[in-house]
Amino acid sequence: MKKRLLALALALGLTVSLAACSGGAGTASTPAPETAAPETAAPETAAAGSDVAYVQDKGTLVVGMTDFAPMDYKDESGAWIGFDADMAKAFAADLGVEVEFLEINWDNKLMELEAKGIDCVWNGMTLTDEVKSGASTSEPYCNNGQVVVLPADKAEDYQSVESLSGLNFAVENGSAGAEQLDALGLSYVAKQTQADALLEVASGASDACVIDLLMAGAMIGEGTSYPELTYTVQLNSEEYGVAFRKGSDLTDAFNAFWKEACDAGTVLETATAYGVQESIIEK
Amino acid sequence: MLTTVTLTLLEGLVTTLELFVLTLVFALPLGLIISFGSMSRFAPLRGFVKTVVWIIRGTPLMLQILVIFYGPGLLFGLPLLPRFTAALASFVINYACYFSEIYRGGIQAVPRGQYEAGQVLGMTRSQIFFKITLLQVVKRIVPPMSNEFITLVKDTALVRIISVYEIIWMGESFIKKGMIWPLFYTAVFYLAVNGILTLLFGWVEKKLDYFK
Amino acid sequence: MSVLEVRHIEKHFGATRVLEDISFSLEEGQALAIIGSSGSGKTTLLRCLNFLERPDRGSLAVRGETLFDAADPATQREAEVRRKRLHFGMVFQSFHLFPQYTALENVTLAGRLLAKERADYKRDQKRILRQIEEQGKALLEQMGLSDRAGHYPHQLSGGQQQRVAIARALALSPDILCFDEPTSALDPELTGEVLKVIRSLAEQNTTMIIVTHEMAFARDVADQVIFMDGGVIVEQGTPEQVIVHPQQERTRQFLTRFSQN
Repeated sequence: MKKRLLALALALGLTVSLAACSGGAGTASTPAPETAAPETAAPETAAAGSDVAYVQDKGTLVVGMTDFAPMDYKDESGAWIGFDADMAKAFAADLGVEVEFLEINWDNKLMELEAKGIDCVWNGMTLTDEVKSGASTSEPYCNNGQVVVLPADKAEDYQSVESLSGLNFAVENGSAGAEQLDALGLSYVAKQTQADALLEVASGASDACVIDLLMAGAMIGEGTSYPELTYTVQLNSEEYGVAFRKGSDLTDAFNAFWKEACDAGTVLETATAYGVQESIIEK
Repeated sequence: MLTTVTLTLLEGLVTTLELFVLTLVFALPLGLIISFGSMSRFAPLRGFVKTVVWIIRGTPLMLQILVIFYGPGLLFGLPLLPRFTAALASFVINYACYFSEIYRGGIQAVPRGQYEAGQVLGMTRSQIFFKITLLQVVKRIVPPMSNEFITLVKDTALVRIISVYEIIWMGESFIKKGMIWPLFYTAVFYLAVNGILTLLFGWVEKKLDYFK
Repeated sequence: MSVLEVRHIEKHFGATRVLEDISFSLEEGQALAIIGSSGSGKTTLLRCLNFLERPDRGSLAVRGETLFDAADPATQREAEVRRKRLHFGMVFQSFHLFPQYTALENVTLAGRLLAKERADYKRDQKRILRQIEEQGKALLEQMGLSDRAGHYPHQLSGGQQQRVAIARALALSPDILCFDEPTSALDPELTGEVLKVIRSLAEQNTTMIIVTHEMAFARDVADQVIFMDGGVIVEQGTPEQVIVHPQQERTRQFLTRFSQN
């Protein structure tokens, strides 16, 4: 509690000074070097002071993720498991640090990285142009695609891309699936998460949704949470990767770790445990 | 299942209530200080305070939360505040500004004659404030304050954008398990909290009903 | 010696001169009525006496003690103003009772607060407070409000409220009691009860200054009348001189206009 109060006092001081900048003569108090900081300074500092050293120094690797079975999800005891979660634990162990999983607001993932709220995004993340340009990304470690999910009883009418035009879609806001629908010129309702999008279809609010193949494989069909849904058209092929801060040396550390883990058989073993062995990319 | 969901939501409710209570603890006095600033006879101070209040009231609280949490790291490469602290700081600043305007309205609505009546009876400034105007101000600000308190309870839902796990976040987490009802079930908790607040404010208003 | 000496008071609001070279004196036990149209500066003059306004020029003295002299900064110290005000009691046009206190509490509040400054307060607190309470009750009785002591202002009629305000002003035993149009905010049928109280105070030789529009009342009650117009004293003297046989044209015009309304 004491710590919290102290932190609050700091926060107040900080925001008062922030407010002072914005309240007073704004132009005078914002010199050029500061405005340039977000683009240039951050990668430089990351490169100068190694990100690996930074993480090892504080002793934890903070992994930004969402609840996304089978990559990251909680077991009965509330501990994070999944293909990504288990591999992240192994990577942290390799670095000699503790792993900390932090559920983030997916929209803010790049901001979280850059502001050092988290150290990496590792959550079945599709390597989109947005991610590649906004972060330092690993080599792809998993294949994926965007698939159309709809109620099983309607599936046979919608087996081709052309047949989709009359459907009302739900899709995770800013996701790879949304990019695909945009490219096809199909309109949709944007949802917070892929799970929200699935729920839209299950509840009948939307006709269909577009989600990751990996997720569809694990979450819909017989013996899952959504037995009455199925998936039909695969809209594209894509790859999963891990994102680090721009210019971070953690990316190289990850790539090296992944190769070793493949050689040692850890990757295949873990993937098999979560049923995604078909999709992994071995080095 | 209802028990599990309820327990999980209660966990979120604790965070929600912590944020609510701590925001009030800091924003109520800070708001009074700000209101004095906005009524100051020293024009530069008054102008500064009014500008800050305008900025805070004129921008979305959600944006302020993002700026306070991510801003230090993105702009200056500084370490981030703990998430809850950043959320609390945003709420304290935002609500203090709203409170300051309510205080100002309440103070300025006390007729000038009340101060003068106190003055000619030989009272000091502080006697006039505490013995005469304060209670009249309180009576005037109770209804708008009750609105702000209730809005504050609901506004706490915003902090989930910086991953502070309040009750809506907890409710949403069940969606991934294929359950949407827990999200709507959170309404029960909000209604309970705001029901208590409504009763409380009704009681205070009644207590102050003896004078006009 | 006069109770009150007002010398050459002048007051500006920005560029507007509201009082110009106001001088008069008041004897112990006398009632002074100030008449004149709205905006003639009557109220401002009263407010100057109570230190609610600060004159730009001139001086005022009570019982020979100079309370204020525009030329002497030593008489203007903020810290002493509070005490100096107590020479005057003030009854406002719109009462300004404290809404959250009962009639009796309104009368005794200032006395109770001032008592805390007395050296013997700690020792004699109970006796002092009882005394103040007794005095407050007596004042309300004098105002004919014994049965209203526990009422809150909003439960009282305008006339009753103004009588409480008079008791409140009397409670601190001021040297001079000032009335600022005490009946102007009242319905006509309620002015009588307030005027009756003021009249009885005059009969007990209370030193008073009454700003009023009630000409008949001023004529009957006042020992001295001042007619003001445009911030200056146009005429002063006995009621007989000023109201019944005014010498100045402006006074006559005012009185004529007034009796027509």
